[in-house]
Amino acid sequence: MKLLIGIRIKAFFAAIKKAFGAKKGMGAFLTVCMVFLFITVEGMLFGAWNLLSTFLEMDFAWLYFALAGLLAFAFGIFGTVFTTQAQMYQAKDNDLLLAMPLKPHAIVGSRVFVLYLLTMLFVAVVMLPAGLVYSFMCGFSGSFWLIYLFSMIFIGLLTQAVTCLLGWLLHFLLAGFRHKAIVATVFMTAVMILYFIGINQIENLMMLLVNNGGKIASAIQSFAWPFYALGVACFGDWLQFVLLALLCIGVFAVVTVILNVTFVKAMLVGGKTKRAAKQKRDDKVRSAMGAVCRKESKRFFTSTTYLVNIGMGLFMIVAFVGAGIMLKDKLLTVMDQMMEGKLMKMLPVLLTGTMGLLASMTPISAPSVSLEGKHIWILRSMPISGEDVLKAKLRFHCVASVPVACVGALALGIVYKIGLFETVFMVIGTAILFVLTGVLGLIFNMCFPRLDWPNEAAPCKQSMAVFFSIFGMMFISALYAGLCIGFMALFGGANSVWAFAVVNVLFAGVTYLFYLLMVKWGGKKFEEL
Amino acid sequence: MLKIEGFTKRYGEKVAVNNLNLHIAPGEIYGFIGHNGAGKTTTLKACCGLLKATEGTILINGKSIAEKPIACKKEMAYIPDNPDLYDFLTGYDYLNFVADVYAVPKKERNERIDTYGEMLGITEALALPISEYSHGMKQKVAIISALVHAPKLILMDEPFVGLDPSASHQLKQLMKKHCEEGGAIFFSTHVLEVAEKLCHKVAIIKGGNLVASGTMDEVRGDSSLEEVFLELEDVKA
Repeated sequence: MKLLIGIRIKAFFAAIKKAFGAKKGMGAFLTVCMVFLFITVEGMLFGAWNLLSTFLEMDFAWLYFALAGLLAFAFGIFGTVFTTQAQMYQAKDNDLLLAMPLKPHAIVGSRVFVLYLLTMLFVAVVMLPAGLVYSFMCGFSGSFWLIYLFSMIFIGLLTQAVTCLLGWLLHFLLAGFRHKAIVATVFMTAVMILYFIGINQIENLMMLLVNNGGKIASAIQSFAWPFYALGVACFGDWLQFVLLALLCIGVFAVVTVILNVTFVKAMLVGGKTKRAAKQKRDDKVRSAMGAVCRKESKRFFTSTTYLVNIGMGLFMIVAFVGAGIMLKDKLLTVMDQMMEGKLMKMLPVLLTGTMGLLASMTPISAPSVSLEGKHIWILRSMPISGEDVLKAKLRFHCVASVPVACVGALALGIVYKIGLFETVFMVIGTAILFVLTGVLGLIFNMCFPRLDWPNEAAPCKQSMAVFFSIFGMMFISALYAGLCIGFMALFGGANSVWAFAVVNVLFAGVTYLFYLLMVKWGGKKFEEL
Repeated sequence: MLKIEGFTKRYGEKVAVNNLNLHIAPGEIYGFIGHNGAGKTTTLKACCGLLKATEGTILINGKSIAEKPIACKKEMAYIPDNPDLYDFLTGYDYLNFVADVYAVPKKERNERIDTYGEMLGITEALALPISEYSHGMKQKVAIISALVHAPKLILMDEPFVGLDPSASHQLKQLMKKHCEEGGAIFFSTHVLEVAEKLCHKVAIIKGGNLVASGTMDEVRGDSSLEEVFLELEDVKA
């Protein structure tokens, strides 16, 4: 097991080294990006703990640490449940390791250990700021930090145990479905919607917590005892500390035993032994680009990892438009109050900007070159140019996302009674932003191609191309809305149609320039992969 | 059909293939043998445009693969040593994908897929996803995909690995037929008996250098190909 753990840790650091040391200067740039992201998240958390520190002056001061534990628990589960499922049951070397004279507990143990380190990272990101805020307010104490750090380790164990259990359940659940990619995406979309509602309401939630501390404290004491134990342990209750430790270690041990006992069975359920149904022979003749486009579509709709991580934006568009239509009156009232009567003039811009944000969540093209992986020889040995391959990948991106987004924009335009021209420009603007996402995704993927991935999660979740596509398009969407508002002000605010038209023409031009870059430079680069 | 002139491939300091010269004419089955890491796969990959030559030229029917890759690729097919095919497609989907890229008309592609599928005994499985296939089944699909567009030149890297005896026999027949019809085949193998029986010409490569080439009789003389190979490799038989 020691050897397997060593290999996993080496693989982890090798991947980091590869990502950060690919090109001179790029490593430093990525480090700056990561540091910026880390500071932003930590800054938000320090702010939240500062607000919640009012509990420290109340009768139930323990609630402060209980909430820290609860948030770390939720953060850890959300951050690692799919990774756990993929690492445990979809790892490429499972068959190889099971064929070796290794006991399943060595394989399971090594995987759980590395996943535990990842979970601890999430736990530490949440709990360390809480501990530091407490220390700044109440003074530093060695015994507090001793208990607190050990409590973090125990909460990490509890989180990992629940994550493993969920990953295990998810694996068996998905094994029963033929269209597991779509089922997993629907499930993840529902989770994401809840998450975004939570994030959106974070300030209200915090105030709710502060105002209803007593009730929440009593609920935690009754129904989430480990977090109560954590809270009181941080104030020196050694008995609760020992009980918390025993509970976390116990739960972790039971889950590990379940994983060990069922690992071989889980691998057999995992699909390979289950005979797939024969499919109808499709002998429709297509062009070369049409064939590549269809191949992309087949990959997208059959890969759980690809669809869940990259295609969720499509489901979010439907959810956003649906919610926008159903909650129309409520939204209009709230937004009108916020915008002091200027809502109807700003609404098309706001809706298009939001569609742009949804485009950033749909970077279908961004991992598509990397996903060729070991199959790259097929396209490279065929009489199809790099240009045409990238055009076909872009075509699939557009076919999959642009119609859904445009119909959504049109529906919102009609329901919200936006003027005809504004609606038309809203639809055009939405289309431009989705096409631009596809073009930029391919450019970023050609900047950071990664063909030697161990599983699809690497190019879909941990690639620079996807990272830059998402954050790049977020920035561009904000820029789009900002420019529209700027031009509206410039034109005297009398007519938003002209502002819309100018910005759309500008963005269409920029998209075309990037398209040329993708085709010429990207196409050549593809032929050298 | 295939002319390799002064082909050299370097990876940094390491010379994978050094000044290789070979000429494969229409109607020839040309065997390429050598120990692991001798430079066979590098040469084959360079011939189909997957790798760029550090020095030298590779001509397919008189056209340079470096200058006119698309035109060259239209006339040839490549089967790698480990056929990693798109696992998310069915066998039929994959073969249609290849036929689409090579613009093979519907009637011809269906006839060829059916004929070669029957010959290699994989027709039944073609409706299943490739993720369900064994190595040998993937190899069979890769072979059909190479033949579906009737190329003039076929490059094969260890084509017999993983094939059952019946499919192996059929493949040899297909190779002979392809050359009788004016096509050419350049393939690497470790199975010297197969090379001896099947090839018109053979080349032996060692450490990136060509150590022997010519017709089978020229290379082996009075000995067997195995004896010549071991002698050239400095291994005592």
